[in-house]
Amino acid sequence: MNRSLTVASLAFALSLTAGHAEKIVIKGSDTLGAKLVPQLAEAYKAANPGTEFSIAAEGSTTGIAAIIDGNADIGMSSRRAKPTETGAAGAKSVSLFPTIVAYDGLAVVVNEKSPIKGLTKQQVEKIFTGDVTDWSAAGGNPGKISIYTRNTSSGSFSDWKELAMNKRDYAAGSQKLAGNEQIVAEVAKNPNGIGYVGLAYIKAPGIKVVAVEGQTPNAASVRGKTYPYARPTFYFTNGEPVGKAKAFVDFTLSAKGQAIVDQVGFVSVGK
Amino acid sequence: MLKQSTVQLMALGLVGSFAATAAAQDSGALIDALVRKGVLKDQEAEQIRSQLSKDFAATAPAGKLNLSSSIKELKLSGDVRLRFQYDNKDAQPTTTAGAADTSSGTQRDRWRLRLRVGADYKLSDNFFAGFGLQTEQKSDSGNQTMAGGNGSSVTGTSAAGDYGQNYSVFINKAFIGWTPVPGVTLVGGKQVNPMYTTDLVWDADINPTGFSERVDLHKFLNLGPLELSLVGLQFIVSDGNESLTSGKTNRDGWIYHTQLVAGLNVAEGVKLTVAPGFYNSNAAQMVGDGGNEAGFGAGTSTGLQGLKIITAPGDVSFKIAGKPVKFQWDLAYNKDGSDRNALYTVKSATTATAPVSSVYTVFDTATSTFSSVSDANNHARAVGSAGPAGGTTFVVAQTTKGNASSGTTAAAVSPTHAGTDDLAYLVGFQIGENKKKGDWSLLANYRQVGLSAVDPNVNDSDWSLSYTNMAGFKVGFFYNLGDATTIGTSFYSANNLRKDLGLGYALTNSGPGSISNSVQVLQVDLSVKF
Repeated sequence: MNRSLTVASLAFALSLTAGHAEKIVIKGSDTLGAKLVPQLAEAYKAANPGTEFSIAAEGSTTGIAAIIDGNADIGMSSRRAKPTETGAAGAKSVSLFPTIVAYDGLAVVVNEKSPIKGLTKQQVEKIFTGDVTDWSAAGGNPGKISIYTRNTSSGSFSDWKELAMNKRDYAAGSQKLAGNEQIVAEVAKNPNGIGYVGLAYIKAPGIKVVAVEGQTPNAASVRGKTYPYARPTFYFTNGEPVGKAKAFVDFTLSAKGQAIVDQVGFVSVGK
Repeated sequence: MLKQSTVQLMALGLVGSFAATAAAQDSGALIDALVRKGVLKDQEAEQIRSQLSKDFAATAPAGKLNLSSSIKELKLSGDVRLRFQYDNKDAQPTTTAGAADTSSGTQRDRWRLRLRVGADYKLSDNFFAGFGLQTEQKSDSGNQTMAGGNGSSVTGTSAAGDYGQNYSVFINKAFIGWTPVPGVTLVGGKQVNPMYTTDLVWDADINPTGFSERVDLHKFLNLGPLELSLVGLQFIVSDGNESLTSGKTNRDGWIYHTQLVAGLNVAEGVKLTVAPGFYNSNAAQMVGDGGNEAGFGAGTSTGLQGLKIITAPGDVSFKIAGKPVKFQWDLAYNKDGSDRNALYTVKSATTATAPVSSVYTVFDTATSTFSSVSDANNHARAVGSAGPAGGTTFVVAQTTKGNASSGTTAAAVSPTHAGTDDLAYLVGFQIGENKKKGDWSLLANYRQVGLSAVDPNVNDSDWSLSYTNMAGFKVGFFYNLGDATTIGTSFYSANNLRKDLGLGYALTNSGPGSISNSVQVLQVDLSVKF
């Protein structure tokens, strides 16, 4: 009886040891977490067998909160930390450390059938704040403008207000969607739709990118900051990254990692 | 991983020298400029931003506040006032109309305090909201009597011992507002009174509960130098039970006050403001009194009846030797004053030439019988008060001698109506203001308030302790000991306007305490605003 128990315990312990793999928990931005980080994770696993990833892409706010609460090794974010988040982190002796891992440009997208080719920054602001509600006032065919935005936990939601809306509120009738893919899908279905998505999503069918002030988002205009809605994207860690988090951050910033960044559609950090 | 370089440290020092800690959040533009000029790399800039944000959160008070992103502006405010108050109420003669006062009246002094704290929020999408707390439930006062507890008034009984008991706090403001377009303001909830008024009609302490609307017409029309606003207030004062099938208590009681406020700069530094308006009610029956320190209306439903009051406050403001001066006036005329009179009850006049004993119809709760009792001591007693000592009785009706008989209830008597009953007016001035250390202000006004001219549940609870059928004055002087600290005194004195209301009673609804032919109130205040 006792012998059987000892053998079973030993077998269980061995099975745990054999099954143990280094797991990196990453939470946060949908912009980063829907495409880029999973591909980086696959490449990292190929180079580091036995490593496991848990990736949850539910918005930048959730990524920063996860670092503050100690629930993730890396928090993905398409925006900077807010003062309230920095304060909350300080209260828990957590130091939010940002690392720029890629650049992105928030592209203004409309239905591919729309005659709109370009907008001014002022027109973009007026459309998304609801000052302008019909395409005829923005150079398009008459029709009520349908606005698609990210939801409030998204870093893009905050960044867009900052970059494009002069910190004003979104139009009352704007529809909040969970991710970039949902936005391009809705805009592709709606001839009067308009939205904003990260560079990695602008090649979706049924949509087209609108130039803003004559600038279209691409690697050169984003890295050179001539595109008005360019922004850095971040990994947040508790202090400077260490251990398994540092290994993955370093991989992301490596030549191989940055090649994936460019391949997915983001703009690499460069040297 | 990047380490903080010498350049970073220099940049951090540079940014820090430009930006006070509390303003670290505004350093973004400087950091961006350093990045553009190639002094900093993007990653270095982000680390500096992060460090400044941490410093801000750790050291600046604002950085420790976690406010909702929907809040555009938050204002916290409050005040504490310590007050000494002395009241004198001379009782009415208890016999013939117009007879000399033979009573020593009621005198009382109280040490009082008032705390008010609150917050006003400006929110996204042109909404706003606010709340306030204060140390008293009765909205026309706000005072707690030290060691006297809630609601201690001049007629209250002596309080029990109090070796430092704490005081209650009540909500005096809780409102939500919206400005859909510039020039239109809508507010719902318990709010600061939006009406332009003096304290002839409205006690400045009352924050009405209900809804208000303001439309600044001059923002929609080109009116030149004229500022014209339409203001409406719907003030709910009684929650009726709609399931009741009869009587006027089966609906809510509402007061409506609507005004057209016109302001005109008639000359450099001289502004004229007039605000004609109409104050009325839906005449619902109110249960109980007005709930204020000076409340009327119990029993006979006088709270909302007979109120159709034309109001016309105004002022001319200008400066003399740098001091702001304001001449104020107010007028109130109740076109239903005679109806209002009929709702009041007074003791009927007697033709007796010598003092007589009062007779009460009393109900003995032990035997369930009515009987008439003479009060040989000639004490005034109100309906509902305890009967003569020694029995389990209470007064059902009060009559003049000889009018009551066993088993009957004598009818209440209303005062005769006179034209002066319907009219109230105020004229006065104020010199100076109290905004910073060394400022002073002096104010004085005279007013006459007819018996039925205004609503005694909302008029000033200090002047004449809210009683109507009175005429008298108010004077006050206030001096700023500091920018936020003011000391001052106010004195109010009023006498009966008509002496022929039965035995001179203005109202008997609230019991003997409301029977006065002369009222003096002295207040000495020390207050601090924060």
